Amino acid sequence: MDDGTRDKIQQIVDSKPVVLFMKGTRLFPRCGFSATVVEVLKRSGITDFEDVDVLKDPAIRQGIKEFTKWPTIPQLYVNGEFVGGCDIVRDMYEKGELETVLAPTKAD
Amino acid sequence: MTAQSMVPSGFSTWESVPPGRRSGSPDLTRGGRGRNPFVMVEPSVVEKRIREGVEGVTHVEVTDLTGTKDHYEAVVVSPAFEGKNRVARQRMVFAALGELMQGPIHALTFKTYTPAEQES
Repeated sequence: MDDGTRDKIQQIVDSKPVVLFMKGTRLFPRCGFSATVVEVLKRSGITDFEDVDVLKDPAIRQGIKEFTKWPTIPQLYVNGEFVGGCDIVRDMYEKGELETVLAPTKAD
Repeated sequence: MTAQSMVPSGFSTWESVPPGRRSGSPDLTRGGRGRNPFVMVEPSVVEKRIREGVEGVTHVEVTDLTGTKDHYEAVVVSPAFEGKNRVARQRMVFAALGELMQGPIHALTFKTYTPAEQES
């Protein structure tokens, strides 16, 4: 990954408290795993998040995997920290842990 | 090194077919969604890689979710997960699978436990 892509990804990660790198958009997810995370965010009351469609940009699609050191998409970032992919986010939601992670983003 | 010698066992790939016997467009190997339709991974290969690559594994169960050999569920139990969060645990399994995650396995869903967690 070149520095330009890294900088671009860092800017996206910092652009909002909640950022989701996904396939498709929140309105039209193009992968079941991405759709699941969108649904979890919706149920958690997160309406204002950045959805980044990696299918629109091959550099970001590949770059985000290296940036996070995580080989799959979706990837959820909260306040600049990587939280996890679909399995982890869904599991945290079911155990009520995601609420704790997301709480600071709602306070603002 | 020939292209074929670079293919891990358990794979059949476009490159493993002699050029004269190939059919269809070579572009298919770079499939529209970044997938190579000629690469499939046997569940036994996934299980073996996890057993060999994740420290102290006591139990591995790999399920082919779709019957297409590219959507898997893995249940992995290891004392090495102790004290590690979900992201760290999953990274350990991803590391064991290495290049298999770069295309051959399209989707992998996880359950990671320590032996103590599995019992509870």
